[in-house]
Amino acid sequence: MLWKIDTQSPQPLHEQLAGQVRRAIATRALVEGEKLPPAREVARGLGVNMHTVLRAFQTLRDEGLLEVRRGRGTSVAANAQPVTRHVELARSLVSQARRAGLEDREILQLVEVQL
Amino acid sequence: MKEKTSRTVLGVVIPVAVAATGLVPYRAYRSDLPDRIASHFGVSGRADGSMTPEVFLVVCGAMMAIGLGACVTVALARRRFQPMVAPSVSAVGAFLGAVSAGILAITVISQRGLDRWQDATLPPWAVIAWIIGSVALAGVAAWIASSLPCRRQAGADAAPPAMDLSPTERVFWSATLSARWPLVLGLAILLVGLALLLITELWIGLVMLGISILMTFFGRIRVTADRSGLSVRYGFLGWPRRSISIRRIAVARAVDIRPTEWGGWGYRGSLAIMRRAAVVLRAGPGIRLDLHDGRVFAVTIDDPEDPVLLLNAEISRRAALNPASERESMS
Repeated sequence: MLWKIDTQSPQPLHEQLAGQVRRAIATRALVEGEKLPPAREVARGLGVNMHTVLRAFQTLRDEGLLEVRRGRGTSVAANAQPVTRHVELARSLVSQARRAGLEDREILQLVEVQL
Repeated sequence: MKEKTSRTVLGVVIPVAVAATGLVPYRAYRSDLPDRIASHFGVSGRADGSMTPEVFLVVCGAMMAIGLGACVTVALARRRFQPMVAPSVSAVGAFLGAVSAGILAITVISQRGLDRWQDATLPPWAVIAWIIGSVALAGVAAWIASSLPCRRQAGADAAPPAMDLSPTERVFWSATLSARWPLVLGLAILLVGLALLLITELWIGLVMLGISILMTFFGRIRVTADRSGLSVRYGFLGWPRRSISIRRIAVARAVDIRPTEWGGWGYRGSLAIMRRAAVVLRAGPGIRLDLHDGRVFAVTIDDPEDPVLLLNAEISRRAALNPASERESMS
């Protein structure tokens, strides 16, 4: 998989990285169960701090796209591909709601009502 | 080394020198040898087989002739071989020739003046020296043969494409390739080694165990490319690792790797000795790197287009940033 960041982009580096993994999973460039390279290597290859990469991995794990196992590395979660769609929907919901002036608490409430 | 010199050294100097190493001691000490000389030795170093000196000369001489004949053939052949053929054949030929000449010389020198062949022993230092010497000579022969002109490979002329990168963009690429045959082969060797462990000496079993561990390195490779160059990490631990610095790379290309053109499967050739090396897990797509000094490195991997675009972009980015260092590494 190709990782690409732009150091001058207004988007934070960890978000750029997370976005690339999401796209790779959605387009099946990364398949379920596939191992990701160690964060240390990605960081060295891109010349960024390792914590930036780890932060991206953590976000993706929280979204249910990655599995992070101690000593066994990071891999794409079992049903990550269908999940990427919902992650994208949630992300666009949050960004649109914020743009409309909603508070984070109100956005949470919006979702909770639907549950 | 000029082509003519290479051909002379490989086709005349090496064969004559190796043949002399075996034949001169035989001629000199023939009259001092017992009627039969020890030709086979057990693992403990005791003689357990014999021949007349004449038969021994014919056996060693025939092996020498085959080995050295291979070197002569490569040196004198007008046709251009596939790239790895001349170095590999020369290496095997020189090794066989040198080993046979060494067997003849050591046998004759160590058994002169004996009354019975049963008293013969094989001096271990001589065996070790002769094997090291033969391997070294094989390396020299491969190195010389690698400078001979060889057939051009298809796709080597295509213009190298590069990725469009803005100065603030950074790229990293990583992919893995797995193969089943090294694991199957490694397991088979391990089982044979365990069986041998029960019936013969410990060291044979340990050697087989070592080989089967080496095989697992080719069960999986991970290839990465970034602004520092290309790296290949072997095995399931990602160790050992082979890296080629971006400074050394002239151009990267996506190619179709045919194992027959690269000398087979596994790690083929040697960048230092044969000027070519390839990591071949299967036939099919791969990355080919042409280095500034004319050496060539290749590795099999799926979808090699991205890393090739990346490497070529980083090469031109480096050249644009630092034209002086580029000229330096070219020379």
